[in-house]
Amino acid sequence: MSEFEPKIVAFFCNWCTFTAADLAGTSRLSYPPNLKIIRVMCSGMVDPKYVIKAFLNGADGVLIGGCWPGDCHYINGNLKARRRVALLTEVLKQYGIGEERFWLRWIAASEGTMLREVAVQMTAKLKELGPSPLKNMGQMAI
Amino acid sequence: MAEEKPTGTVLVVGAGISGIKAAIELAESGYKVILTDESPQMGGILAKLDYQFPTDHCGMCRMLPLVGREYASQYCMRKSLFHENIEILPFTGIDSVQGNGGNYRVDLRKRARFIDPAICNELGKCIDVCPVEVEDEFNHGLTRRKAVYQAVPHNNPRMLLIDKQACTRCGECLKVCPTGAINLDAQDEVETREVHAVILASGVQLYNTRDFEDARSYAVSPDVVTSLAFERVLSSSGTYQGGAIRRPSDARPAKKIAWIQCMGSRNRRQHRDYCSSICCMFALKEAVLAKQKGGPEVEATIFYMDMRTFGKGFQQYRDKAVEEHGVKLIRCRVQGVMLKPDGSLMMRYHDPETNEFFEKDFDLVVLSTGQIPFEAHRRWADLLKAPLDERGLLATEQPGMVRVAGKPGLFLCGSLTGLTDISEAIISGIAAAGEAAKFLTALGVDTVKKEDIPEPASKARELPLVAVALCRCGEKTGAAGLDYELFRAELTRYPSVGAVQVIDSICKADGEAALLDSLAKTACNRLLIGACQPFIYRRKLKDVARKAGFNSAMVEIFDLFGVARRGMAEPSAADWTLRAAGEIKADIHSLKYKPALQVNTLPINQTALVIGGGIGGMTAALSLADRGVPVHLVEKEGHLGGYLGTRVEHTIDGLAPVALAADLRQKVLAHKHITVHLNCEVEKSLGTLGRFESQLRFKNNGENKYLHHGAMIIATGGREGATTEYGYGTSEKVLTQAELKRGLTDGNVDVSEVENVVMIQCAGSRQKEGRRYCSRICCLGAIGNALEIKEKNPDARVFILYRDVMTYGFYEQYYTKARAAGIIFVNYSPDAKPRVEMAEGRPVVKFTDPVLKEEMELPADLLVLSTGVDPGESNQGLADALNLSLTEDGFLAEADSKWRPIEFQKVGIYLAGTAHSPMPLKNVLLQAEAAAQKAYTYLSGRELPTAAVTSMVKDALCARCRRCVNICPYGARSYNEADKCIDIDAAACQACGLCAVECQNNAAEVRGWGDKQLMAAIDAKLMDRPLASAG
Repeated sequence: MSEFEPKIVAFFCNWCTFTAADLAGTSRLSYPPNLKIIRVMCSGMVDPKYVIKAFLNGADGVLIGGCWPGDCHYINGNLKARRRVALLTEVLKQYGIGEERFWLRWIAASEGTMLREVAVQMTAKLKELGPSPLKNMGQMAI
Repeated sequence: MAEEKPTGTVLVVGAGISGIKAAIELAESGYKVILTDESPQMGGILAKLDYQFPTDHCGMCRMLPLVGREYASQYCMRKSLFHENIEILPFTGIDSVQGNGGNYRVDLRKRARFIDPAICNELGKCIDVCPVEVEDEFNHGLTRRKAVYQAVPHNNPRMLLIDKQACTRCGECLKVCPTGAINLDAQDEVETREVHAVILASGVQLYNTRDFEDARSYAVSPDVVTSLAFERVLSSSGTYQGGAIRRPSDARPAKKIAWIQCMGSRNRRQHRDYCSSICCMFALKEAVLAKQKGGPEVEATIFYMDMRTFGKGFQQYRDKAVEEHGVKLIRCRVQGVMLKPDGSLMMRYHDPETNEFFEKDFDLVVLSTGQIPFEAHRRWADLLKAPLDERGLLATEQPGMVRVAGKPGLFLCGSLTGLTDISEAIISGIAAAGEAAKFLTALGVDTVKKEDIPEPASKARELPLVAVALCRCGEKTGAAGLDYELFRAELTRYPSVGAVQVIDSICKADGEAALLDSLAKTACNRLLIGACQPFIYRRKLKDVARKAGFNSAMVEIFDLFGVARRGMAEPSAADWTLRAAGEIKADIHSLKYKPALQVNTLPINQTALVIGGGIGGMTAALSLADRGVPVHLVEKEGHLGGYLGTRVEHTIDGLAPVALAADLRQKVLAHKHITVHLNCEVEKSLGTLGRFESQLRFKNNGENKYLHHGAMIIATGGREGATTEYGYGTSEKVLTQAELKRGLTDGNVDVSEVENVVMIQCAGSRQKEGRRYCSRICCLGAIGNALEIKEKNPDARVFILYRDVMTYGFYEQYYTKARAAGIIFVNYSPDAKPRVEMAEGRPVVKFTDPVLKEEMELPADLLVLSTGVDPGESNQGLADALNLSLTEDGFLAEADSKWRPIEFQKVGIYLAGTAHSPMPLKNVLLQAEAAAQKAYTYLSGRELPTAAVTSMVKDALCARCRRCVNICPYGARSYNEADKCIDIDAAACQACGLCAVECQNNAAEVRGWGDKQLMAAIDAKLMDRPLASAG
């Protein structure tokens, strides 16, 4: 059997983290293809239901990438994201999704290497943890 | 028939902060801009600066347009910039400028890159094979690059070029280039362009350790770096790898880091009698970052002469750096650095606090290298045949302003107007754009006419069927390219895909025709175009689609070459194709659910309200009125002129406020477009950009008047600072600088007999109680008064007791002049302030001499206190009336101190002068011009198209809980009491989506970014097929 390849849904903010992903691309830094990047305008626009949806539909991990506090193009959207993520983490725990599967990271536009680092770390962590307990619950729930 | 007017075109030379800002402002006003830069990329110094105080992060993207954002790029500015009206020409120099105002002919030299970016596929095989390695100037030699390189790593699309100096012409790159983009014999191209006006924003040179002997003597090891190089040490795209700050020589963690200030500036021996203005804050920020990034055990020490924290929020940042971060400040000029055998850097210094000499080892020494303005000015003067002033700078009509003397249509901004930090560069950029726009208006040229393609019906309610057009992109895809047959096979598997077309070069005329042709036949109702650089071609491709009958909301552009290849270093054709097919699928799914978008137009009341009838307010009012904008000018006093314009005859730098105010007053009163309202204040103001309603209340009779206007400018000024310290109020021999100034002017203070005059700076300023900030003008005022006393009575002894002499920029020369005139400057520490006692009817000042460390007594015939500037007393009322906020110090809080210094979060309200913070007259004038330009951008037309992507309310679902109103960072949502619903200000909304998440009922949504689209994207991403190689 081939090795378990976790699927990570990555919501990246248009201004900082998405640019970092671009930078990693233009700098030809390769990172695990496990990241499924979805561009959002601001990390603050990631609704908790998107995260839950991703887990229900088979994501093994969800990564939200936003600008560093103080950096947000929309003034403080990333702080709102931080607050929501803290609450959502507690909720997800009730369903067997530990905080190791749900990451929020600040990655600035110039931090292409950090983006790769996070991608590598998260992929490794999820390989260690194995598939998400909610995997394919989506079909039942919806 | 009316004659066709030409489109107003402006050349902006230099794509640093001020040049970019000037270009964006003009483009937003509808003029064509050619933006050039000498270097291969844009961004100037900022491309290297990842962090800016006070946030210690980056906020460059905040200078992008807010209202007309559909016309400009909406992504990180480190990647690149795009605006429909701006033609960007990097690596382009100016050979000559001929002609005169309104009609300049400019020879542009487009330097050879040796790689044609139109053909290059950006994969960089040439970089891998290039055998030549040289120092990478982007990282100041801390890293190495090949002779084939990309100038700035963040730039996207990648614009590769070949360094001609380094290239050995070995030809290895030619062998591997799959697209034939390399031509080692390419030549510079010279192109003549005709423009109506020119803005010079080329910046100035920086002092460095390579070209200047003085700095070279400090650079004893690679571990002595300039402050700009240290930015690269701190940056992830430089040498920072997390965890520790590594010194360049051996990559060992640097724990003890020192900064030496005033390298190359404030140095009369080198004929640099000026202060570089920015280095103190630069060093403080770097010290704080070093602590944050290197860990708490890092020791950061700054050796300085005067810590010049003169701007808004600067003093607070200094306090925070010292008190919270433990940055150590030592007032000492370090004379040299010694390299010890173990590689550490030894410095000998005197600590004035303990009065002891120390020898201490450091791991890393940062030289705060200043700006060198003269070279750049001389070059421009030669090229333009324009005169230099006595300082060696291009002569402007008023010192430090943007209009070049005797050259109509030629303007300066950025560091060419003086030595500027980011916010001043932004302000001067806007001001220069404003002057250019005024000039173009007077010339009678036109703005860009938008090609009017009617928007086809949206078909949003039809069953979605997506046509996919894939661009073969000329030769870009070449041998290593996409497998289009596999691509087509992958895509046609999806039921919602109706057709897949592969078309060559959609961006070119043939490709466009082929696309139109294929679309004419299709039954599809939505269109996805896969192409390169979608952010550049987005609008153009959407226009093509519109011609073919596709509503632009139903069209999406996918990045075939960037996004699809991300994370894959050397993708095989099959891998790339499968990855692209997987990625594009997510876009297809989200496009299926795209709602119809429509651009709304906002009616604009083309009238402005200017609050404050001082010099700033009158300047702003005239700037708008001269362009035909009707202006209401409101002043709370019974006369125009403000504080400076009625009390101060002349300033130290040769401006004459009273005369200037008299001249402005005359013009204002005679102007047919200006209505002056005296003795009244703004009581309440409601509404948004384009339609404000303000209530004026007249002080004398309590009557109210209501004004309707489209934008407003706040220029309410400040007031003289007050103090009760140092015996003020107990004797007529103790007075403030302002009182002395008036006394000297009207003869009420006689200095012909005085022996000792003592001045105490920072009375009630820069301390925890009272004014926490530096008032910025008091050191200049004190030096001006001291020089005047010396002139009237050369025998008088004038002592100035100071904490830091804030003679930044070219004001430094007055400090030099004062010392030459025999004025004695004595430093005091805020922990040991001077004390004043009265003896025999005159004040005796007691202080500790910093050199002798002894208590001194000085009987004074005059004791003059520099009491600074207090915020205007009406600030609080105004903030309440307009729903704005104040800083802790009581000045109006701008949207962003660096990137939006004269704006508020709410669009349509702008800020000028001392209402912002205390500042010299020169800065007031620049801000007034800039604020007028910001307002003019929106007032120039009868209506304003708003962005198509904004948030909306599904009224039937809305519970009126108003959580969205509270969370909106832009104040774009409000509760309409009359109609009992949520109103959205489409001009203010930036589509960040916070409201959509906050809404409990799914009533709030950002158009095109709704649940349907995002859920579909999540689904599509999770259905991804594995890549061929992952097999």
